[in-house]
Amino acid sequence: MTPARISVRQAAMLLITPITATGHLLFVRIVFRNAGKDGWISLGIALALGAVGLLILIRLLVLHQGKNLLQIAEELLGSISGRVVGALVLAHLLFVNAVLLRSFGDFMRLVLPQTPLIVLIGVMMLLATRAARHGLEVLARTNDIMLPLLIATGGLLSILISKDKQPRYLMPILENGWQPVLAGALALQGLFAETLLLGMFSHQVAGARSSLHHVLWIIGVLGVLFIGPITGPPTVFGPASVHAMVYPTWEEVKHVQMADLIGNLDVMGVLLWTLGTSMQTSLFLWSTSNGVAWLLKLDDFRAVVAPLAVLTTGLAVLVSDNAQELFNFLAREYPLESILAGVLLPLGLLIWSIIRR
Amino acid sequence: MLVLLILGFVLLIVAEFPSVAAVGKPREMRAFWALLAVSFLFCLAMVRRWPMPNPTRFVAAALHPVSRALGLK
Repeated sequence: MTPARISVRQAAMLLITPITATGHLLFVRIVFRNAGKDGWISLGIALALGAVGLLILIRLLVLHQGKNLLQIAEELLGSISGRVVGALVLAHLLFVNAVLLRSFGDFMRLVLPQTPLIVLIGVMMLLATRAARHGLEVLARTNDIMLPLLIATGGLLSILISKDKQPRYLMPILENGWQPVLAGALALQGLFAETLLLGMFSHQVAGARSSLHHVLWIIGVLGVLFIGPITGPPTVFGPASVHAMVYPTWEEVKHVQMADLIGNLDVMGVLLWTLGTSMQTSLFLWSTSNGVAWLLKLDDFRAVVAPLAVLTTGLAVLVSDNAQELFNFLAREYPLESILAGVLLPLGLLIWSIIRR
Repeated sequence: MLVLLILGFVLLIVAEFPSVAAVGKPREMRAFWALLAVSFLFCLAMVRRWPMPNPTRFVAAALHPVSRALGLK
């Protein structure tokens, strides 16, 4: 099967969608839990760290043009060790996909409380399976349509809510010192380490070159997309209220009201996260399937998409007994696991690659 | 639940098998059946409530000391 090619712009957009979907739905609350109203400082620090992490990954990928992260690990560490590392990365992707899918299912149960969880995540996975089977190019083209739609809708909601924002609620700055802010930045950095996905499809990106310009473009867009949700809830509801909110961004969207004409826009939030999560689940499933096909030396990844989708769905049910347990995991341990796989692994491989040259 | 599970897997095979068979490679075919068998056993274990380790708790237990040291709430 001839691998499809996508452009650098499409690759960048594919990275932005899953980070934005997960971030707005789940990580805004995690940032508030750590840094409170100083979350915007955490965001700035996390963006700087995210840029460094992405530069490390891109530098590694450029040194090994035409290969993905798994193939690079095999080349640098040898056949057996490289495949063991590859299998661990794939286990991480499978697990993360299950965790994020389950988190989305827990959110949707607020909207559709009568619907069983397995139906909510099963339908999403069915959609993702069909999308992933069509390959990266189809995912990228779909994302070309979806991401601008998500950004436009999110931007419109931000404009509509802006009249209710009280910037003075963000004062005083650093009331509790640097430690909570740095913890919030670390949690966000775990989210930005999802750029690991680039390592899974880099061999299919046409004309990929090391470019600070591309990294800055991705980080800049992420900054713009996150600044509204990070500053919104504390300035609208007050800094004390955000700690009690389960989905602060959704609460903010529900709050939008314009002259008795526009209101009840919570459905727009559901639309945003459903579209974003569908792209995220599809991309993770495609990456895992492609990686498993490499591990099993298959020519066509499509044979393993459906079985892996079933496995992911089952895992999504198993990963947690309740939403709070999963949220605690996302807030405390997930960032470390994500940084380990998305930043420290590429860094280790890059150092080893430079030493070997 | 067991009947639903079996029915689901039968539907999955009916839907997916033709496209896998169309690839026409025995290696792909073997991978498909092997992973499907693993998935079925996994789902069967969940439906029958066989004891299984929770991967989230496993990862959490491994990383919790570092997370606490870094002050993640």
